[in-house]
Amino acid sequence: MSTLRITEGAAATYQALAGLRSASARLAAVGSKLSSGRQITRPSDDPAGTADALRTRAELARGDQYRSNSADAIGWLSSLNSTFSSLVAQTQKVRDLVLRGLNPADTDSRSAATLAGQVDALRQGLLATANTSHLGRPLLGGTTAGSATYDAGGAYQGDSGTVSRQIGTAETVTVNALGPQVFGADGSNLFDVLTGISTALRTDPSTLSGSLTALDAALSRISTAQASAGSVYARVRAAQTAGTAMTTALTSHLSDLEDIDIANMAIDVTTADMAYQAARQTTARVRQVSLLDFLR
Amino acid sequence: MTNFAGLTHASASVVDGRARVEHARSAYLDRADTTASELETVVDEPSDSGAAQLLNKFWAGWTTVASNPTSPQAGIDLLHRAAAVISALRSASSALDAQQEAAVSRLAGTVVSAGANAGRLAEVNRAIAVGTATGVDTNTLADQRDALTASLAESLGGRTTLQPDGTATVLVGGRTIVAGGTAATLGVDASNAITVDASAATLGGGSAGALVDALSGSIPQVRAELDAVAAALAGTVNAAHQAGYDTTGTPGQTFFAGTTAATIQVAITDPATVAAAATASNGGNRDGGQAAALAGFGTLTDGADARYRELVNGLGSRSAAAAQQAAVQSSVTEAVDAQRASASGVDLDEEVGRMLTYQRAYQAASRVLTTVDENLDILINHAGRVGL
Repeated sequence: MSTLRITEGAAATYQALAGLRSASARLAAVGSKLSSGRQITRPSDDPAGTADALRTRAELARGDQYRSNSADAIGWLSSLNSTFSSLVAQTQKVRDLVLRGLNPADTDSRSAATLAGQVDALRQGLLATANTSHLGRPLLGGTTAGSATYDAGGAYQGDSGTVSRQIGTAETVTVNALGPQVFGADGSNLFDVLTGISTALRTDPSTLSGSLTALDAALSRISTAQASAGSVYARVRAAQTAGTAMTTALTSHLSDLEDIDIANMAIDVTTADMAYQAARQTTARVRQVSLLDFLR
Repeated sequence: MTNFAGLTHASASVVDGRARVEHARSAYLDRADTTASELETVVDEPSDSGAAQLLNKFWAGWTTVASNPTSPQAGIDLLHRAAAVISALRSASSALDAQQEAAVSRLAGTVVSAGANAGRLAEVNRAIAVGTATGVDTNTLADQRDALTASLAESLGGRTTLQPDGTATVLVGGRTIVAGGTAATLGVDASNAITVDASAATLGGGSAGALVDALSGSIPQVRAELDAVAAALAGTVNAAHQAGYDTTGTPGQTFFAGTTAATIQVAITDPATVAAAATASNGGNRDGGQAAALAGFGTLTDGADARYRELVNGLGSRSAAAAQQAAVQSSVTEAVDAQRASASGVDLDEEVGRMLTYQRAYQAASRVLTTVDENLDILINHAGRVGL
């Protein structure tokens, strides 16, 4: 047989049916995409796209981690900043009192004792500020499990642990400051200096000038610590901005991968629907006609 | 006038043989495609609730612990997130178990029905042999024979040869399933291999072949890949956790117990024993260094996330390839079916045309009869009366 005989069975069962089946499969496929709103509903829809989507999701999740770390870091650094400001203000007051103590006109024994009392009160205030806690842990005490940074005698109770936060893929910042860095080493720290000033005011105000140098050194240490916290703060802010831009880009990439283009898909559905209807109508029309219709 | 001489069984045996082969291949690939796309449903990806996203959340949980090392809430949240990952892995594992069981029972069902068909084919063969020897019409039996060999080919694959006496011999993988009036006994052994007369045989085709291949190939492979995810998770997290120190300064314990997807579980229950600190200290400290390191484990090149992506990617690409092969094969099969229908099917136009010819011939014949009748009438009734 040279040419294919088109028999009723071949035409009806295989060709018409195959056409109908493929048209309806295509309609079902685009219909399910349109109704789910998803381009990839299972890995086999697009294996490479699925791998990409999984990786993008992981990136997004890491971005969330960095964002929450950054927010946490901002909390630490803000606490540090306000603590340092308060420390500077109180130390300045001590410095004023020392200057007054150094002025011979002011220093009769009674007023010197009053000044000493004020210095003692400021020392208590500075100790309380040094013991500021952030989220239940001593702000300047490193990673200590205890609740105080300095005891009443002005001895450091914390450890030398750093608190660091990862705020980007390769960016980790230290968000705490340690007591000895801020106040000086135990034995000559700010609180020891203040005890010395108080004693000198009560006994021999003329020895106060050495304390003034020590106070200035303490002030400069606190300011340095504050400046360093400020620069870390700026880095975290910059990382937050970059992170937000990254998240937006990744979210839009994920949407490109997984979500359908509604307008496009709606047109596809309409086209597939028309093709299916045309296949059904043609099949019905062709199958109605037989040679018998033309014989009388 | 036409003469009724006999009916012939009108099927071209070459096309028939080809159709059987293509149907067997189609049955194999369809079954392989179905199995692959069912296997794909073991993982719920890509989505916001699949194991990949749960792993992301687990690592994010370590970040919270790193920021708040002594917070019991952060610890409890972390343990819950770990439990969610475990439950995703375990449900994937039990879904895989269910698919394996389904494949085993489907295989048993296919083999049983193939065995029954082989038995029936043997009976038909006997009847055909007798019919051929005695010259009785065996066309109906031949139709039954063809249907049975087609169904055997779809379930087992193999090759069918027609003997001169009209009986069919079915060979599968070098083993004789049906020859003349005898059929082999088919079964499935404990290792999910098909047996012919109680000895294991390698049958590579048909839907049973696809099931055997899935049971010895893709299903164990997916299980191994899933177990590799669990082993990587337990291995990496345990090593890091045991190198850390908990809130009391005690070295960390095993975080995950078990190394397969079916057996893995969270080994610690007390959030205080989460080892977040990287540095040792008497009585513990508030360091979160180890937790911060663990939070970055999602990027390990041989970590659980990477293994899981491999698993998903493998499932997706195998399923896509199987679907592609099945689609190609189905158009080949359709073409062969159309060819067979064209050789052995009925073309109504052709038949109507022939019917018209026969009708006209009948009319012509009756006209001949009428003419003869008229002639005889003239001869009998009017002879000798000329001129009366």
